[in-house]
Amino acid sequence: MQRSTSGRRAGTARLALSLAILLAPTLLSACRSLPDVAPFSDTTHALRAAVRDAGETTARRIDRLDTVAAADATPDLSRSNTPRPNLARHAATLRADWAVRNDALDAFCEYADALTETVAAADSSLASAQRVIDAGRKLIGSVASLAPGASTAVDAAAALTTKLYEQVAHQLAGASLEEATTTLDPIVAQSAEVLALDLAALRRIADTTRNQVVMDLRDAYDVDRRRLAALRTQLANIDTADIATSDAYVSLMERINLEAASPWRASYTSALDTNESAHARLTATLDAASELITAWADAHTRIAIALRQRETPNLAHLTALTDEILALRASLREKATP
Amino acid sequence: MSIDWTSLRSPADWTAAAETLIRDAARAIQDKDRAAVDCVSRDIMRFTTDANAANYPREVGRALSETHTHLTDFAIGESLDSIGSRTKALKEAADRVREVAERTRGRAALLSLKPIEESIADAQTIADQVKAIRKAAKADDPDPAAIASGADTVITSAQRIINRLTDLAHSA
Repeated sequence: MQRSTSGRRAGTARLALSLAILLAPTLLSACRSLPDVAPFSDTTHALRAAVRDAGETTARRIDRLDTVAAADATPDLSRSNTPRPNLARHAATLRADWAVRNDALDAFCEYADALTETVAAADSSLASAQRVIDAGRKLIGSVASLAPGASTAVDAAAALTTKLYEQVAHQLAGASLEEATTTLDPIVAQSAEVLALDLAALRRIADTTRNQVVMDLRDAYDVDRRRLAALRTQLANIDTADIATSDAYVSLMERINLEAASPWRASYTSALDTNESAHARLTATLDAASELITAWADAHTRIAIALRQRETPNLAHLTALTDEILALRASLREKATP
Repeated sequence: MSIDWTSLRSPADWTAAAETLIRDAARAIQDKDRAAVDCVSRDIMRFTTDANAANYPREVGRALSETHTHLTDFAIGESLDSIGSRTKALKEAADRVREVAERTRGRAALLSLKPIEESIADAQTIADQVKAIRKAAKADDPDPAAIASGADTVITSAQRIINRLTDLAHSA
């Protein structure tokens, strides 16, 4: 009994010492708050979706260079029926290369998710610890009168464990996040540069395909365009003094109005308009994605620095740009690409 | 070569200008000069606008259209070469990112599960020990030694939780 009592006292002392050792470094260092990495994760996912859509939409625009004139024109299909094997090969090459971009952004999404999971794990482990501790304290309370020495020590441990666990979990999570963001920050920056150059190249392809579609439409409607242009030239050559009374003028105006209201003209201008709107949507998405990618890399650097300096990064700008790209992407997807 | 648009009057002028454009296009493609390709493309676009459609023979329009297709082929190919030249770097970056993501995710899993599972197991142990102490105390002839021993065991269990936290703190 004597030995048990002294043993218990020794155990209590040991426990108190352990608590002191555990508390000393933890209390000396301020509790480490973790940055909100959710905006970065949201942006990474939005960027992946926008880059994927932009690549596929551009490839489809190249695909359609083979068929756009044939589909929209009635007067002259001979030119548009000429095979363009190189353009088909270009679309395949773009898809193959763009698949690597998609895969890289998949990897960045996995990484962003891992950052989010780390923060969530730190928070949820605290909540779980709290549940365990609360249960433990109830039990300890029930035995307090029977083993006062033990219960005091365990109760003290329980009272402190929540705070300790919060600090330990956040410390661990913070260290993990800091290591990951510091390791990958140069890679994020380099990849952002590469993707920005890729998006710029895609922008040039988009401009080129837009112009080629215009050329194809002009060629397919050449006979009609030529007829209308000739009438307008004749009109321009009529002497201004004769305009009011000239039969030639009246006749010309009638023919011009007929041409302008004809089905070929409606079909031609509609195809041109469709081409312009598709191009505008694609380029708006590409431009926004380029802007977002720079903000994305910048946000990652901010997070890495904040973790090193134990601060909270400001990601409001990133959130605003993400909303913009999501809206543009929705507009790109809901319209059929000509 | 830049076109003097104001000097184009007769179909022959337009035809000569088109021939110049076609030669410029061939040279730009041969020289792999993207800026020159874009410049000729712009000129062909301007040449073939609706307003100009009646100024030149049909064959000239067709030749320009064909030439523009070659320019498009070159321009897209050049942009794709530029994209392709960066593919390897991006592949390597993706591999490295996945490696770090996996390690980070592994740590997150460790953080959220293992210590908690162990704490729950220890809490259960403490609960069993407390039950044993209460049983001993309620006995007709309570055994102080058994109660003291139970209390020691509770201390040991608590110690184990503390030790685990200490380990975690050190590893952090």
